[in-house]
Amino acid sequence: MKKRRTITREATLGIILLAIIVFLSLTTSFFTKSGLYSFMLDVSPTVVAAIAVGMVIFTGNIDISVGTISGFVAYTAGALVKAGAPMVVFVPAAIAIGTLLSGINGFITVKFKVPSLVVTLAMNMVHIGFYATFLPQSGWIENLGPRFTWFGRGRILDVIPYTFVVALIVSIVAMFVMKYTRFGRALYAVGGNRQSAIFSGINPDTTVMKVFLVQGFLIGISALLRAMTRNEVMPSVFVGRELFFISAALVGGISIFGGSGKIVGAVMGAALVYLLSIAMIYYGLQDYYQFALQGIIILVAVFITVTDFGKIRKRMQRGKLKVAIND
Amino acid sequence: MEDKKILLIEGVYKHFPGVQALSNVSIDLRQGEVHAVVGENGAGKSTLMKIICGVHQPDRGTMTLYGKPLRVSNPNEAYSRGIAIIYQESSLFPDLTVLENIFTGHEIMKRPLRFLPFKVIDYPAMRQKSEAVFDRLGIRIDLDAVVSTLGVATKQMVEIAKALTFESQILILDEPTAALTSNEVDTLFATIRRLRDEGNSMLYISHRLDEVFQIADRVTVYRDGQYINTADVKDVTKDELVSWMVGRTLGNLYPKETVQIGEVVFEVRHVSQEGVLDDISFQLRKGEILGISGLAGAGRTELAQAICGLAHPDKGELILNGHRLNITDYRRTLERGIAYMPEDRQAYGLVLPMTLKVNITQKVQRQISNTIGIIDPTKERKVAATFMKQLAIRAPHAEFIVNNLSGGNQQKVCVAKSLAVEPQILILDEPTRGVDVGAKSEIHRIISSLAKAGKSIIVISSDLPEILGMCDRVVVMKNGRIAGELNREELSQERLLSMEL
Repeated sequence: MKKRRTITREATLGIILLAIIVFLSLTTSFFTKSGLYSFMLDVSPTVVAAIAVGMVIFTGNIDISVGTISGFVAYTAGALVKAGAPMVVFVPAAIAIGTLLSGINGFITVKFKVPSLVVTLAMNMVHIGFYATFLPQSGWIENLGPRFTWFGRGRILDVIPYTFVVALIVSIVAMFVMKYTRFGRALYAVGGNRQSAIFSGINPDTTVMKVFLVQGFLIGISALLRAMTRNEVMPSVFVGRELFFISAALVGGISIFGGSGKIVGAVMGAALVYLLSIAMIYYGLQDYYQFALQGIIILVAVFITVTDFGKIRKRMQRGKLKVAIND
Repeated sequence: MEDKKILLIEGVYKHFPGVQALSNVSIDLRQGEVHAVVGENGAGKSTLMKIICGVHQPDRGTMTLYGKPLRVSNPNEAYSRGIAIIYQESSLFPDLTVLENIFTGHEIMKRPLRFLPFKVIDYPAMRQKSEAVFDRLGIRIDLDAVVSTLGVATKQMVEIAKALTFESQILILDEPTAALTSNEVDTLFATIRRLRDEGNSMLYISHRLDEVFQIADRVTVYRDGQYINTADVKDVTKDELVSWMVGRTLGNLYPKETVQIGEVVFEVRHVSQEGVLDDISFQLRKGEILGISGLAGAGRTELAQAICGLAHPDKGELILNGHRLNITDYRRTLERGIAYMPEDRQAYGLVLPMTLKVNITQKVQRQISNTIGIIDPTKERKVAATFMKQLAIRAPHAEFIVNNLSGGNQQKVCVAKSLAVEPQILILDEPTRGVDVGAKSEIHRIISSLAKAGKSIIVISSDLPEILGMCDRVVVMKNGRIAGELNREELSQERLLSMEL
């Protein structure tokens, strides 16, 4: 059988990324020490979060409460620091909170057979309500001091943030897990064809539960990477972040229907989303323009990455574009 | 051949809410035999197979494998005991590669480095093992090809290979030929014989009785969840099998009535579509049943879609009742009286989670609604009731969910949907695929009576006996062209096949 050589989605994405980087480097101060540093600092939490939500999307599920979960993670860390806890305590505790909250989403999805979109939509609202009602000052804690920020602000050779190293390690481990562990293979199987996953001896419920726990763990890391760059925490700044995480994963070619996509895509998707917003800042576009433009770019990017133009053309030629048939 | 019974199943009962799926069912499988399991839809074949491979648990009954009691709680356990099932619907993961598919759920693991406490997937070992299996099957395949890019026949080989990587000695094949062309069936049968000669045993489930005679050594018949009979294939006739399956003798499987064939009502002239159809011309007469035969990929479905306005041919003319049609709009074709019933009722034909009523009236929404689009429930019920009665659709009421009907009845709903538009010309694409013998015969009777009522019918079918039995005339297609045309008197299986190949 002849091997078909086609450009993969990930390669397409890589080329687009490279083009933007070259363009930015030539026309702006992007390719300077401070430009690169701030890019790496900004992109790191999103990379980790895009991997986290990407894994859930592989199974055909989605979690839109990851933004508000991040808020809880940040608050937990901040509150513990204020209470005098050392890093070996507040970091694991904060990650545990993320894992727990995401685990609750997974549990409800699996146990009560509620679609994860509905579960997490509801939890998203519950979380926001919780911030305002139960957290003192809606969870705002200031003056956390260097005990909190030293890691987030630390850099290697004055240019590579520690957080970026963490994101890099998480990316490599995640790629390894997807390719070389049964858990990773099971994610694709459950999202690709649930029934045959069962016939292959995979338990979809256990798999989905596990992936929500893993997501929570990674969201914990992601939220800390972001929170620890600042001297204060404010849970509500994380509200709406899920849009960026999910769009990074989708731009990276992870199929919203589950069963297909790559971790490296999510990583590049995160980079693309950030590069675009940086580009807009360099060119002086205002916040709201940025939002709108970014939305449009996400649509275009997803369209480009998910569309198999060759296939469409072939089907049209054969007069068999299947959507038209069931009239 | 040895008479060693390797798998023995006795007195199995299984109850599902609302149905006794199996009662007192038995079967035995010998070393190195192909054992066919036949029965109408709902006879309990699939349930039994699912019990053997651990998807369901039996309520009662014993199963022994190599003389030891067999108890399996999930499919992987069955695999590890040497029993593998190849399902009717593809159980592959479309976005994964052949290699990944073969080993999903039972990946070969190894420690990446000797001192590390965890194991990872060992791709080189999996690749080696798959290559060995494909060599054994005598097939060359790209292990890195993504499964969604493969054809149906290749996918099936991948499933068989998957089963063989478990070192299975018992293979269960559930309707393996349902989606294959006759060429591909030959390849599959060669593989089956090869495996049998190596000493493997196979349970072969099929609707197509001809295949049973081609491939099987013994055959067991079930009906309504009960064991009926087992026989050596060489000792039974097709009529006997059919009578066991339906509990009565079907007078004639293909009840074609002689109909006075009238004037030409529809004509296709020089229809071409690049890469698909090449200069297709034929005529259709009033009361005629015209068969379109050919291998899958010969352009049969494409032709049907081109003449009913679903596709856009590059050139050609369609003439209906003497008027030239220039149709590229399916809705307008429908209104002119050409209805197309697509193949694969599950994918294209029906809205499975909706009611009978909604499905039957789907193509006539305009006729049953007023000018602003509000549906008249009385008219809707009337249309549904009319066709349920005309086609003898067995359902408790018109509000019944189509998904819960048997395959045969679903197929009748499909036909009803096209009939509801009261077409002059009815194009039926694979009207009896995957339905049992009884329902098939009923559908044939319906087609025949429609022709008698003056409708002209085009039947596209891969089922040669159906084509031979039902059609007044057959157009044989090959590579998008008409390879020939045969009248009823000239028809024979040999002639059809020689034109198709």
